[in-house]
Amino acid sequence: MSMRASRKIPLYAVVAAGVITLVLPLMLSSTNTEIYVTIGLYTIVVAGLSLLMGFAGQVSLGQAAYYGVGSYTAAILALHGWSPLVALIAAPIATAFLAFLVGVPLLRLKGHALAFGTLAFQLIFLAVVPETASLTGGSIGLSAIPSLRIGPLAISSGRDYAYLVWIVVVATLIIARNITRSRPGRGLRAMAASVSGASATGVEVERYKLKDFTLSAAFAGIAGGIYVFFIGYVSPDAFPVVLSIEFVIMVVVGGIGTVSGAFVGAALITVVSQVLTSLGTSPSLPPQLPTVLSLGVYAVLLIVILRLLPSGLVGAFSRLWKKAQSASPISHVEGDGTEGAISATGSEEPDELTLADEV
Amino acid sequence: MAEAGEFLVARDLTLSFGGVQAVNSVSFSIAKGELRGLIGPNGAGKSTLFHLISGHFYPDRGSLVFEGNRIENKSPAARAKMGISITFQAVHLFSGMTVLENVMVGGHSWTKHEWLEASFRLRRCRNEERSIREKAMWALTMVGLERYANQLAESLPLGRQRALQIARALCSMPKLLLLDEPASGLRGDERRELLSLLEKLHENALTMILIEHDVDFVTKVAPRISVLDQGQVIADGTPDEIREHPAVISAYLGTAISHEVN
Repeated sequence: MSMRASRKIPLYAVVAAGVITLVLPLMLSSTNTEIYVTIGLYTIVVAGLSLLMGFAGQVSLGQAAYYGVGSYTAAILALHGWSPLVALIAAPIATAFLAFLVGVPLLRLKGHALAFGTLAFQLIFLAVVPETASLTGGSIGLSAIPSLRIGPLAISSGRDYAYLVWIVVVATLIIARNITRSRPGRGLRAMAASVSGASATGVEVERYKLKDFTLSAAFAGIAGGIYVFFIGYVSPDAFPVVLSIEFVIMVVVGGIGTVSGAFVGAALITVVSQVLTSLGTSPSLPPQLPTVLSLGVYAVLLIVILRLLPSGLVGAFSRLWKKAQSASPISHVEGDGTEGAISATGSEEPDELTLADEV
Repeated sequence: MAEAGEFLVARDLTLSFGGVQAVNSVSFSIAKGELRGLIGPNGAGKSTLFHLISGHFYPDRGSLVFEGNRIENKSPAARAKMGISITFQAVHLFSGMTVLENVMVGGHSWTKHEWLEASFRLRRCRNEERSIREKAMWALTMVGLERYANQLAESLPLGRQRALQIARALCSMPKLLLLDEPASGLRGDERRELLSLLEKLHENALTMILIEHDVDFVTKVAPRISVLDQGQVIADGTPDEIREHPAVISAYLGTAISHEVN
């Protein structure tokens, strides 16, 4: 279900999702809880990236760097005596501010050049962190990060984090949905469809791209902040370039520019990546196998999705859902030849913003 | 016929692409509430002139004054906010959005709430969203598309897509509406609907400039017509004056109007 159509999500589905989210942490092993938290964190990052890719039509190959900036901001502030909660709140703000500064020159680039620019930002991040050991702990990283407290509540167990992260997931998804459904979101969506049309209706295209870029970084920043308190340790190894690529794949697999696609993509790719890692780490196999294997699988997945399901899994499912619904008699209200037009759109699925050729 | 006022005044507007003078030292003025027809052969520079007014092109030379303000170097978005709205010759729809949402984008120019207010649906966001929605429904009703409100924009047939563009422009509550060949590709009944819509808007004192290929169509609705040829204004007057103007006849010689003139 896309951001537009999501108002049609039936109540029972929302309730069911809520119950599952609440009950699941009680039943999971500690390893699985970690995966559960990771899926939540990635959903937040991917929701932001999806807003950027789907609406500003820009691909960021450096989103893991913003995730990292959020992590380091929270870790450094917490280690310097700030209250962990304040440090966590500061993480998205600092990340957004940095993205704004980087975005001003970067967004002058277009298409592939911009994608490489964002990749360059990540490489610079990965190069700078080891060189600023006094602040960031260098390549060894920062440890003994104080645990998170919200008022009298100590957030310490994996289960606590599972609840915290899913509260933040819901909050960010609501924010994403609120934005896409009101003036700024309409401006963004208009911009993705026609830049000249959008600017003719008063949308300040360049400014909107910058805001979208900044917002997507803020999402990555809050996720990074939670991550660092959850793990209690941060080093540059946690933010490899391949993680940025995973984020892009998650967006594409779930469905570009959709809120629920963020969750589907994040969950699926996180699980796939876990499976591949455990497959590839059998004792008799070479140590670099997991990385090679996952890159290969991502490549195949990306090609298959872009060729066969350009609107992602969520888009494909919502199309099936619409078809099933239009098979029921109530939906045939329109007269004068518009049915043909409706069924035509149903088969081409233009109601998902597919920017496949930008990827 | 309205005498030229101070509403929109162009002086010496010039724009060339490479060696071609697309718009060559064009001066004109439009009075408030006027409906001005703009005709000319293919490649005369009509659409280019519109893009100079809407801000999608910037002139090499010359000035453009809208309600006393110089606008020739302002961005399209800034001009939209000042009340200049354009419907393009090639339909620029926002695909993936419903008909109603397309029109609601038009409300962008007169509302203010931004990302933070939208994120948390603060009061200004809620209020403005409500008035944008009301205005959009009004605009859809004006062009007769209200029953398609929740359909995807790209599923409409071409004639309705053109009407949708006009609705979007109306939702922006324009002071000046630039219509670039709104009747092209329309069927007979759709043309008549468009004609009556333009008459209604004209009665409501909306200032409009209408580019139209079909001279017959323009003469029915525009009390005054300017003729552009090779980037220059070659004539200006009532439909009758235009028909008899020697420069117009020679510019159109061999095309539709010569037929009519004779």
